[in-house]
Amino acid sequence: MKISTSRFGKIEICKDEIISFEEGLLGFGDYHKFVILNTEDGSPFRWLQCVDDGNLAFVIIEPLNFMFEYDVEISDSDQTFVGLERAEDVVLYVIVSIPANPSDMTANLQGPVVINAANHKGRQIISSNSRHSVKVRILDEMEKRAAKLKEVNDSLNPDNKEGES
Amino acid sequence: MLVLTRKINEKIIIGDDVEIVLVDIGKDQVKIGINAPRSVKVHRWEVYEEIQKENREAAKITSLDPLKSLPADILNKFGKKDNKAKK
Repeated sequence: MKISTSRFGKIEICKDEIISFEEGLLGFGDYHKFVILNTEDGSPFRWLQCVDDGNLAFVIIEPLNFMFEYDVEISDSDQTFVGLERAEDVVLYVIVSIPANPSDMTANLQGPVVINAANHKGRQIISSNSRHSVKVRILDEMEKRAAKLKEVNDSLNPDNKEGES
Repeated sequence: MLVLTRKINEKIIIGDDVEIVLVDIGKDQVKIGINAPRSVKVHRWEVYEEIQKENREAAKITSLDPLKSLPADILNKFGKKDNKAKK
């Protein structure tokens, strides 16, 4: 089917790709159907494009693309809501905000989007982890992630400490 | 809206299984205990409001072009998209 969008013009989407958010996202309760659009090759950013209204779309990213770790508890009610039965069906995204200075872009870690890949049902959940705020600077997290990765790498290859990077 | 007056340790029951107890009253705050099944979502109202506000902010983005002004070494540090996760 074809949909008209304000950002990408007319696009062809496949019905099977539609993710249904029964309650919509917080503050957008009237919009229930979305598709995920990839951006450029290799870019971790994607669009969560609304099918009901082509003007509505969010930039999303998988947290592990910029964070070393992201632990969120999916409550029983959230699991039931999206019909989640197996942990491997969880697809997790966070919504990105980009201010005038793009290096200050932030991710909303407190309100991640959970999608059940098995049935394409989604819900924006609320993380009960007090370290997850709605505005976490993505570049800060990337620095922490790089440092952690280096630490892990160094501990695995103690001889290469002076190595290339 | 129903407005009830309660004393410390008195309870309110909502539906069959949500119990609210007034634990303590301070000068300008009250402490409330909530007993509810795990299936019932309980959050501070401000959290909802904050996430709604953030969503509205995020919905204003019309293009990812501004990211192109970031230094290439930053962009290269992002994890790569896992295409197989989608299907």
